[in-house]
Amino acid sequence: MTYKLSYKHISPNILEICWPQEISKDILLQMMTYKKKIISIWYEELWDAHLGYHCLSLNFKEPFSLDEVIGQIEEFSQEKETHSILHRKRWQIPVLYQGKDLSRVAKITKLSVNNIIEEHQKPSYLLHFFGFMPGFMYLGGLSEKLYAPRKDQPDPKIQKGSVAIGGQQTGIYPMDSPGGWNIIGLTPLQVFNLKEQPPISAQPGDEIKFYSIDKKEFEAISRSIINQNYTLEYETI
Amino acid sequence: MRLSEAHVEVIKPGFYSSIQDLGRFGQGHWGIPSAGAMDRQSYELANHLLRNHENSACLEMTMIGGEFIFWAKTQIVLTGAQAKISLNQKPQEINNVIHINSGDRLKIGPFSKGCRMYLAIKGGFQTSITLQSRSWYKGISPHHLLKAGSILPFNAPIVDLPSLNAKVSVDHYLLENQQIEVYAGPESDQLPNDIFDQLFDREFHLSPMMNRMGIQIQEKLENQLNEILTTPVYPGTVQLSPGGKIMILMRDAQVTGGYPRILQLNQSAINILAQKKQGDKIQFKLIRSDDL
Repeated sequence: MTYKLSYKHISPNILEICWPQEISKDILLQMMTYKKKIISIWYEELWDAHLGYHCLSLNFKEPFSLDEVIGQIEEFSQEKETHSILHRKRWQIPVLYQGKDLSRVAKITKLSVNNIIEEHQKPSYLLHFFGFMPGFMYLGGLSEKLYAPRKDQPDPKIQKGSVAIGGQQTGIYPMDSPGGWNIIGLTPLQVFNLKEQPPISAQPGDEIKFYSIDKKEFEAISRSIINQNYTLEYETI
Repeated sequence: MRLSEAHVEVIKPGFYSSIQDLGRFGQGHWGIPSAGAMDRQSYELANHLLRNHENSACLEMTMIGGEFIFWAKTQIVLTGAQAKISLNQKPQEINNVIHINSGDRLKIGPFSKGCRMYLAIKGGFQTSITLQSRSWYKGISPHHLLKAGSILPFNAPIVDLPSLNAKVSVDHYLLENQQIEVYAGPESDQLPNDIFDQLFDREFHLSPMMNRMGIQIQEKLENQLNEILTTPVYPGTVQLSPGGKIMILMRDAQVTGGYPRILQLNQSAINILAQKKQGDKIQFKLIRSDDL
C-alpha cells in the first residue's frame, strides 16, 4: 500500500519520516524496509535510525541537507516495495504464568486465571519498536479481553523477565525496574543481555509468541542458560 | 607505581556524581538512552584544556562537589559550576590545569553558581566501557552513582607531564544566560497560536522535579492536546502533558514518548539548562525554521 509520508525536521541533525497516525503492521513493515534502505545509503553519516509506531527517526552525525535527503527517499519510495527483503522471525518465549497480579487481572477481566493464561498465549505479538527502557518491546496484538489498567500504586521493583499487562499492552521487563503493570508471569530468558552483541535477538517487525512452562521446566531452562547451552527458539516467517 | 594502581579514591561523593563521556551513540533502536555529559560545553572544555581526546571520560558532579584523593601523579581540570575548591587546603580555580601529586587531596564545596561541574583527568578515567561508552546509566553500566569508597582508575603518565598552563576565563554566559533557544516541535502545530505564543511571552521556572532524565517546569500551560501515538523523543525535546505539565527531556531520557512534542532545544540550550537549578528562571526563544 502507498502511504503519504510527511517529514519533520526536528533539529539540524534529526529527521523524522512519518506515516499516517495508526498502529499497523503494514506501516511497521514499510518503515523497516525504508530503514534498511536508508541505512544502506547513509551508513557512514548516521548514528542511528529508530522507530515509534508511525515515525522513523534518522539521527545524522552532522547537519544534513533536507532537500538532498528527502529527494533520495522520495526517489526510492517510487520503486516497487518488496517486503520480502525483510527476514522476519517468530520467537518462542517460555513463561511461568504465576505472576502475583493474576488474581487482580482475573477480577478486572472477569476471566479465570486459566483463561487469562490461555488467551495470552494465543496471538503472535508484533514487535513494533524498543522504548520506555533499554530492551523494552512495544508489542501489538493483546486480546481486548485482557485489557487491564495499570496499577495506581506502582511496584517499587518489578523483577527482570516479568511478563505483564499494562492497559492495552503486554510486555516483558528487560531489567529490574519500578512499574505499574500487572505481573502475570516470568520468563527465565535473559531478554536483554549486554554480554551479547546485539543485546537483544528480536528486532522490530519480528513476532513474539509466549508459551506456558511449569516450575520444573523453568528451572531446567534457567540451568541451561547458566551453562550456556540454551538456544532461543524461532521460526522464519 | 604500576599503571593499574593509579586511581582516584572517593572520600565524599557529592550529591549526585557519575562518570560521563559524550554518550552512547547509535543505540536508540534498542531503547538505550544516549546519556553523556549534561553540559557538553563544560565537559569538552575540560578535556580540551588537558589536550585529551574529546571522548575522554570525566566525573560529573551535581550541586555539591566531592572530596577525592589521587593515588598517582597527574593533571586535572575542573569546569562548569563555581565552588570553593582546594587542593591540600590551597585554593584552586576552575578552567585551569591543576598539577596533582600522589596523595593529594581535592575538596570541592557546594556550588555557588551553576549546577554541574566536570572533573577531567589526563587521559580520561579508565572505568569500564559498555556499548562503546563509559557513561554511567542505571542498568547499562556496572555503576550509576558515585559512592564514598568508589575507586576511579586512570592511567598514570609514564613520562613526566609537560607543564600545561592552559587557562580560560569563566564563561558567565553559560551560567547566567536565561534564554533557551528552541525549534518548534513536531506537534507544535496542534497548539492554537495564542497558546503557542505564550511559550515565548512568559517566563518559566524550573521545578524541583529535575534529574539527568528530565526537568519539569513549575508553570503549567493549559491545553487541549491529546496524547499521541508513541514516537521517538530526544535530549532537548519539550513535552506537554494533557494536564499542562511542561517536561524538558535531558541526556538520560528514554528514547520514545507519548506526549506531544511542542519544542526542541538546540545543543547549546541543553548545556545552558544543565547548569540551571531549582527555581531558576528561563525564557524560550524561537529559532526560525529557515535557520534550521
